[in-house]
Amino acid sequence: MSAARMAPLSAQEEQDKWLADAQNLVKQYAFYMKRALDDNNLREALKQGSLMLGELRTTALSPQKYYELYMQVWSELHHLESFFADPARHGRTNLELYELVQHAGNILPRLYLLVTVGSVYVKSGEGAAKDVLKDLVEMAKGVQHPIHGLFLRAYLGQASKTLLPDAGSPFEGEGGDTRDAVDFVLQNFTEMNKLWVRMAHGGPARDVDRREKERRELRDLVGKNLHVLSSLEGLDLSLYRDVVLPRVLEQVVQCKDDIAQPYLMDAVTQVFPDDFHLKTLETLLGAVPQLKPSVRAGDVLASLMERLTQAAIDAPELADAFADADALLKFRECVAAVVEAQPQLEARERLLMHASLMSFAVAAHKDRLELVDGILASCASALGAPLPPASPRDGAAGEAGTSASSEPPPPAMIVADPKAVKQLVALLTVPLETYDTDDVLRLSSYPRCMSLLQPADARDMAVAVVKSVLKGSTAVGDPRRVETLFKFVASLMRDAGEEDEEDFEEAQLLMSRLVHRLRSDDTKTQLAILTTAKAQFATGGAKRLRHAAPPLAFEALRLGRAVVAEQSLDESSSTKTHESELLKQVLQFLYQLVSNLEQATCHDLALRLCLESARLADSAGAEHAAGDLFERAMTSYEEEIVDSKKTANGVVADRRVAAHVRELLRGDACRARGPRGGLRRAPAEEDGPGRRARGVRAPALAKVSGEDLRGGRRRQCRRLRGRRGRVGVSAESSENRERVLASLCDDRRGGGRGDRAAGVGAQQLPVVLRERMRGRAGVGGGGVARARRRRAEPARIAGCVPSRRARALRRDGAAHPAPAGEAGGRRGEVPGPPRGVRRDSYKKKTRFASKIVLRVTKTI
Amino acid sequence: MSFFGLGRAVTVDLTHAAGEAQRVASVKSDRGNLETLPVFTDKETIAGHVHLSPAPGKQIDHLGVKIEVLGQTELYFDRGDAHDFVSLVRELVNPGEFNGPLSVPFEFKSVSLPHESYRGINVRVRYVLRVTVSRGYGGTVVSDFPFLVRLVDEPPSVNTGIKMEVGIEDCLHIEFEYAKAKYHLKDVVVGKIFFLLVRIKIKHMELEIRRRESAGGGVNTYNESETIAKYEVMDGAPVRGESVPVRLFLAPYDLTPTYKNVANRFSVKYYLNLVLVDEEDRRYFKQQEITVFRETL
Repeated sequence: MSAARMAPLSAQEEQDKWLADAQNLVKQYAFYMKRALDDNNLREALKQGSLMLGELRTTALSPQKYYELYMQVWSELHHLESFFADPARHGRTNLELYELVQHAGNILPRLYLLVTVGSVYVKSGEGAAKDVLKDLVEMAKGVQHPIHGLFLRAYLGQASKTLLPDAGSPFEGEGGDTRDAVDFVLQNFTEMNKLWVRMAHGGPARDVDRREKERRELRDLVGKNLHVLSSLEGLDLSLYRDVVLPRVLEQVVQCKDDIAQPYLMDAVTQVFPDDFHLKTLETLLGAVPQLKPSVRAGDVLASLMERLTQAAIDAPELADAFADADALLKFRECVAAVVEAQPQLEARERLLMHASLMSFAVAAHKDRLELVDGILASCASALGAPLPPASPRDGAAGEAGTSASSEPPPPAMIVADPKAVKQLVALLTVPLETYDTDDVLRLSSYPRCMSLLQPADARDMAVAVVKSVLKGSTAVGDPRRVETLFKFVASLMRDAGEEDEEDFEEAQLLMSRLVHRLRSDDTKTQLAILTTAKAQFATGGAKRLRHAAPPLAFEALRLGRAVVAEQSLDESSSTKTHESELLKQVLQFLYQLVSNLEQATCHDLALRLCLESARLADSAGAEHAAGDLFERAMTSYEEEIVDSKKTANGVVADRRVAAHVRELLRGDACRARGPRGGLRRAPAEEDGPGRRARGVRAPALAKVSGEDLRGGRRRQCRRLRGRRGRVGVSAESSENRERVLASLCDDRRGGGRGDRAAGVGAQQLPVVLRERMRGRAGVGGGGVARARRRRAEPARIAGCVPSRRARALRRDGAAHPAPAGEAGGRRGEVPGPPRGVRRDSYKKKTRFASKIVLRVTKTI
Repeated sequence: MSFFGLGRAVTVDLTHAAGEAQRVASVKSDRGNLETLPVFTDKETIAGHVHLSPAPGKQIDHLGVKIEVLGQTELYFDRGDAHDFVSLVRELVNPGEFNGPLSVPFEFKSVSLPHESYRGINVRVRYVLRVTVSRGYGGTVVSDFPFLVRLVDEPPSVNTGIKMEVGIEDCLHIEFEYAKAKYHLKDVVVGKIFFLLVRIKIKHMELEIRRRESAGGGVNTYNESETIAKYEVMDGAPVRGESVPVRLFLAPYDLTPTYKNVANRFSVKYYLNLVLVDEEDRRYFKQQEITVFRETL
């Protein structure tokens, strides 16, 4: 009537209105029904009850509204039920009632009434539970309307919950056994699921979203059945394995529904106990590849694995059970099957599955590292990561090999989806968190998995690896492991994509710290480790080496000192040869490092390292090597530091140099005084144990300094070789130092200067130095430069000023040729000490030191 | 009945010999209300007493009192042509007079009652015990005491089920199955409907019981169908492969047995009619005859 005039209602308002109308009617019929009940008027009560239930026949309401209506009716049905339960009030037997309510003409009210009477019938003990329930669940088939059916069956499920002939229930025996209860619930479940799935079909396509939403709202109605099943007392493993699971899975697989399949699989996973899952894993997993391709099998598997993982964590004693069930293998097979069956599977899914596998493996088989590695391998294969080049050293390479096929692998899925990245990172993090460094490094497929990440993500992951190594308690003490470790962090060792400067620095800082974790008690191994590490850092180019060099150097120095210490403790000749050989290698290593640093234009560092190395060599009594190193330091200082733009560092370097030299001197002084120092004293100056020691050691050391230390520096090599014959061991080392000092004084840029320097007394060295600097400064002409010079006059001697000037000079190109070009020409002119003069090395060192100290103090 | 204030001269009543034990049944009367009538069956003895009560203080002269058993078929469209297929008479009282209540026994031994009482749309079969107090001057008093006749049928020796596949090509194919083809009056129709193909949107499905009465003969045959029961057996649209159970109790419905050519006058047949209604309220149906019989009185 007035509807025509009213504005059209929105869908929501319409729903509300319909619901309100229906609820009013329900209220009204319920009122009459209750009045009839009060009068014990069965016929009238049934009539009004039917009318009330008839309101549930509506097809206009959305599931949610229908649910509200259902709940209202449901609460009214209680009155009817308690009336039915009291034979004195209606005077009928339950069987009569059971027949009577079936006279109702409409099916929906009829079945609600039937269920209500049925529950009373069973409760009274007159009807056998299994028969009545079977009848009810069968009759309910008449309701094919999805929503009506779902709610009716939900009502049936609810009403029957306490009536099931479960083990230990009062309805067992006559009323059947657990098997009957299971059959009943399963049938109800199957039918409900069918109805639920059917909701997806029919109706216009534009409503698909709404229907899906509505379906999701109803899913628990279906899932409830599984819950009831799981709570049956009598449900034992065999029943579950032989009846429940196959039938549930059959239903799940057959329904071919995007919403139902994952939900039900998840529900099965969640509601049944762990040990059931374990014992039936094969069956359960067998269903997974049969799910629709659009269903995220990964989620399903992951949730199952998570469940078991949790179980494994909660109850470690289950581990045996897991092993017995071979759970992991089954999971892996299943994952492989899914990957195989669904080529379109997203990377995220694949990763999710493997991440869960990983968690599970770690939780259940923590001690079996090869499993973890196998998972990594299969993960990498699943995403098409290229196989690593065959490396026979990898113990677990066989695992990775199994997943390789003869045909060329598909192109790797580089993981870009943020969620997938998260998965992969999670996957890769699990072993890091679980195992200590050493074990992680045995996971040969780990780097292969990392190669799936985008460069930036890979770097983050590598950083995580590094951090975990740093955090770990055990050091990496095997060169092979070190190599592997660098494979793990390979992404930090190469330039790929743009990288934030800060991140780079941070990463390299971590890498540097990592060096300190590469440690073995065995000196030889340690050397191998360091060599490996250096080689790896070298592949990263100069800018990485710069960061890595100091820790490498420190480690090498430490190693050197350790070698020396061992040497002094153990006097037997065989080890000694070995040790000195080792020391030689260490020094060589240091020398190479210096070269590398210089190549990387880190002269400052090179210098410092040079000096430290020299100190080490010196302390070991490797005079030649020490000399070489000093010379090199001086060369470096001269050529690079002084001219370097890093003037401020230059100053520091000066100070350091000074400090080092001072230290050097102090060391000598100590040796002069203390018993241990004496060991290293020159035989000419001292006797006693020191002499003896030196006598044995000297040749080896000479060899060190003479031939093998030099690396690429052939120039020095030749020079040294030329002298060795003429001077004694101790003299030779002294000579070296002298040469170092001399070279410091030598002005390499002009032949004449060299002569002059040779003639200059040691005391005059600082003056020479100063003059040279002045001279250089003077050459740099030009107004601005001059002004600067004037302003800088008070600090003229400071290392910084000359070096800047020198730079200006070089830019002119006129003052002198580049040092590199000159090298060859100068070689012969380097002044040595007067032939035959045996100088006291200590004295020379003193001079050198005083020179530096002087310079530094003046600078300051 | 009273004429002109005189009232009825004699009140006639009848009691059956079985008394309280007499079988009775409730049926709808002509006026639409329920009445409870005694029930007899073939070859039963109908016996009892007729009670005659004159108005107080009056003496009744009469020309005799008799009682008749009458069985008639009546076609409503042909009212005048009632056909008596049973007519038995007993003289109860010889002509004379009485002035007080009088009870007279009567007995009809092993009366042949070949047809059941029936009230249909166009035809009925009725039985009465008619007591006539014949008097002169139009004072004859006739009282009818209707009774019902019910006949127990032999249970069918063969009672196979009904199974049939029906459909509309490429639209709907169903197979239905009823456990029996012959039902007694309190029976239950149990069956199942299988959906083999469903391409229409079915709203619901119901099972109807239809009665078909065919009265008269030749050109004057009147066929009437009425739906005795409508019983919804399915709600909503099934999909292929579903099966829907049917369980229909016949007891609540006012059925009679199937009558075949009663007194050459009429027949009554019953059908189960399966009706599917689609969303546009189109009806698809298939009708199957069933035989209804009386198992017990």
